[in-house]
Amino acid sequence: MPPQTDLLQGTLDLLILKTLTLEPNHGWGIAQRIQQVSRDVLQVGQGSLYPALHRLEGKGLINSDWRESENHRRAKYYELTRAGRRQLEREISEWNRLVGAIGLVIEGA
Amino acid sequence: MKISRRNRDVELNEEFRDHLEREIQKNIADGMAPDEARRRAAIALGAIESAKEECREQHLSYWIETTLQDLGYGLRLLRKSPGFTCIAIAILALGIGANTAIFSAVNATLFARWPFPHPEKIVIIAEGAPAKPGWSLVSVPNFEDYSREQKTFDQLALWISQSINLTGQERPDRLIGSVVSANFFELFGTKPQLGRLFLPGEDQSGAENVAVLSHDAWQTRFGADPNILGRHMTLNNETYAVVGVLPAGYHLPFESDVYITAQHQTSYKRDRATRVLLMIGRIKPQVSRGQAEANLNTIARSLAREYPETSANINVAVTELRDMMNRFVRKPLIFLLVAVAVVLLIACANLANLLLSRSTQRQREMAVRAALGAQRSRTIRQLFAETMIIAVFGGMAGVALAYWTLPALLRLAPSSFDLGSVAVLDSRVLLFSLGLVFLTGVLFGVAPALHSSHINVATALASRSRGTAQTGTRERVRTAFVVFQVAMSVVLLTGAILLLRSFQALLATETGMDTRNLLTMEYRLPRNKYTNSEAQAAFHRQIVARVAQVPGVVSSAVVRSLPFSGNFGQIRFVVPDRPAPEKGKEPIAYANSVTPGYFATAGIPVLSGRIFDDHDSPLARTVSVISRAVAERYFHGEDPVGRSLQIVDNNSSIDGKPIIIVGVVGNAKQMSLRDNDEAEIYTCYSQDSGIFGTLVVRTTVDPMSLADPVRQAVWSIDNDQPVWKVRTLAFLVERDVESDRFLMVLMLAFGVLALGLTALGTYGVLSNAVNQRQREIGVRMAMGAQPSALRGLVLTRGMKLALVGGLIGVAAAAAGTRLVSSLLYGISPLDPAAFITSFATMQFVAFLASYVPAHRATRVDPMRALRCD
Repeated sequence: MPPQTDLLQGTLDLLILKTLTLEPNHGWGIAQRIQQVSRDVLQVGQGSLYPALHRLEGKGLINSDWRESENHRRAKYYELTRAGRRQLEREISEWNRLVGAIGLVIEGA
Repeated sequence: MKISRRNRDVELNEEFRDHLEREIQKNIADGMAPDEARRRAAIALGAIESAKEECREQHLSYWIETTLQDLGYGLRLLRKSPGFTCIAIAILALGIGANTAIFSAVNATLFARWPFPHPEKIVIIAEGAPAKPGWSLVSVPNFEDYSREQKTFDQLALWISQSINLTGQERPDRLIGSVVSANFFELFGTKPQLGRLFLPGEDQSGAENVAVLSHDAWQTRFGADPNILGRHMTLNNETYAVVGVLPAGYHLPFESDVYITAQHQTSYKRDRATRVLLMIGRIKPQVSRGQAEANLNTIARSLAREYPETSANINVAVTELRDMMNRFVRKPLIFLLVAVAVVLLIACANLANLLLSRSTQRQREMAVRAALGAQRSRTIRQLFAETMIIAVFGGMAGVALAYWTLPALLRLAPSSFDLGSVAVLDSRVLLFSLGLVFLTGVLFGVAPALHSSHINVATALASRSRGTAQTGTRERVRTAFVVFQVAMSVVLLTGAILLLRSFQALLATETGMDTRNLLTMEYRLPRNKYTNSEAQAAFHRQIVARVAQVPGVVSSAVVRSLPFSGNFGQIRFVVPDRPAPEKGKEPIAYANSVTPGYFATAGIPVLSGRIFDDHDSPLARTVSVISRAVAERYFHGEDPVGRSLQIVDNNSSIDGKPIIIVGVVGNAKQMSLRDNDEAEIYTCYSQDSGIFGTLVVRTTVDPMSLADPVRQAVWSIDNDQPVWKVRTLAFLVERDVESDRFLMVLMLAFGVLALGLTALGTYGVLSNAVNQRQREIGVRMAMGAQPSALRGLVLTRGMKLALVGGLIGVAAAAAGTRLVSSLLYGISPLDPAAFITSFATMQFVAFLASYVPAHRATRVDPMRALRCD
């Protein structure tokens, strides 16, 4: 099994929000997508995923809805809200700033 | 939109199940067999319940719901064991109730709300060489210099209290008066309800006589006369016009019926040697007390330089007025507050022990919870909710108890405490009770909660687990609580017994007089009616003679400063044949003036020489009678009769004259039983008269029953002369010790309460131990152990706890009693009898408390104990 990387709570929120920009998805789908796109580096366990989803929903950044899924079963789909989109932009720019700063330190110092 | 909990849970389950299904599908798609796929998926998912719980925690409604759940569960549980619940609430009610009641009293005195802003800025300024913080008088010219030169005060003002005769009504009456400088009310920011207050300059000689009335006085003495302004009244035989009335319920620190201006003080003179008024001030907002004092001291120093005859070496001491008025009350009240807090701690220890013993019974419940996945924090929260319920109910019961008992407490409280009307529903007191509830909940809830939630599931669920490691820790914790209780009880008891012995010592102190059957009443003659000392002396003589004729009167006399009344005179004196002491450092003695019959009436024995008689007239040599203390201290065994002394006192008419000592009388206490100074110099009224006097009458019957006849006798001489403070000397002596008695009674009550709680605690722990160890006892009995040996086992256990706790308590008490030595009289704070008695009492009570469980140990049926498993 590929090594699991510990994700900070805030970073997980960022990944979830980004994943939902394309289209609404259910929890399992979000986790799969993150794993695929990150080439198996980032694996989100359901123990951290679902609490994060519920938290984001509580903050009004995502909405949830029960729909019929592709295998004709009911699944809980999450989608991004307008507030969520704004928050995502903020988080991305904050992330870039952070990464840039760390990069400077590593190269220069 | 609120989704109900049930729906949310159903959805959550759906969501997780869906996730599991998809994982399984993926595994199958990856090529695993269905069983393997299912297994792998389950492992990958991990702990579902805790994940679900975390999801639930993200919603606020969850927290509200679970808290309500906890409370509901807690209430049901408490209802199921009413015995436990009632005892717990009762113990807590006693503890919180007592604390609330005492805090009410503390709140009323120490945080008294005065009706003007920034009471902490109001100070009293004592001037002296050196100045002693407190009530010390200043001269008018000095006051004016201070006022003019100072830079750190908003206002400086003068005040003194004075009895004022009100005549011209049906009966002559006495008002409590305040003599003040014109800016007095400005200092307090007072606004009148009717009319006006004093104008600048109205306190100078020659100004019109004006007076301001308190609201109460206007209502009760003048019938709330709507035309009161401008109305004239006769005070001290002079006419005053009423110019203003103060607002209703307005209470200045100095309660008065009427306010008049400074120049009307009896002995008012504008010279630097006459000191008859007190100086108070309001410090400027940004200035500290220290800065204000320094500023005034600079002025004092220049006054000392300029006027060395009157003001040599003077400086000033500035004290907050509030501190001065609370001075005697603060220490006893704080002492009581600490004591009652200790009682609460003991109560909490009891409750903690009770809860711990309950946790033994709930072990299985806790284990099941843990097995079902309850997180430790959740369990702790739930246990906490239970203890908070007990705490809240206990708190409410406690506040109700305080509210109910407070009136009785106020009635018992000495008048000197000036508790007035204490509002229990005062917000500060309620806040305090709330804080106590929370604190006690934490104190007695924490240990059991932490303990109960820490479960080893396996061993706990095993049937009839005996002696787990947890049980051992629990035993140790409970033992520690009991030792703590014992120690604290010993501390309280020691304090109570010290106070008891101190009180006994006080009561045993000789007053020096025969205080039975003595009626007393005060009066003060108006100066403009009795203009000279002959007229004054004649009045005193006449009423003595007239009162002596009243049926039931054995003898009567007049004294200027009645012992135990709070009145006193002090003078400096020199003995001519001795080397003259430095000016300002002459010896001090109490000074008193009396009619000849005083010593016999008061029951003060004559030791040598004679007392005053009719030969001592104004024309003859001035004579005096001294107390034994003066004779011993300043005449060293030689007979002082025939010797002379000189009084150094500018305000006295006999200042500087050589006075012949004609007799020595026994010592008598002047101020209080605690007063160690019994040096007193008596002069006789015919030679050293004055307008003040207190009638002292020895009666054959109950003194108060003769109050009216004696009053009539006085009025037959002058029917415009009011008399007041009609009471017996025995009452005054009682009053002197009432705060000591109050303190002692309360402390004894706390000590007994503490003993009771500790006995309960000890009994509880030992009882529990016997129950836990039934099997062991059964074995012992089967092996032939005698009942006495078994009893001994339990008793030893109990006595060991008591011994250790007792010794700790004695050590703690020894360290602490030094702090309260000022409350004690006649015994040392380390009085061995008190320590031994409290230690022994505790051991005895512990023995009694241990006996019942010890006895129960012998009743264990060995067959049942060994069999039950």
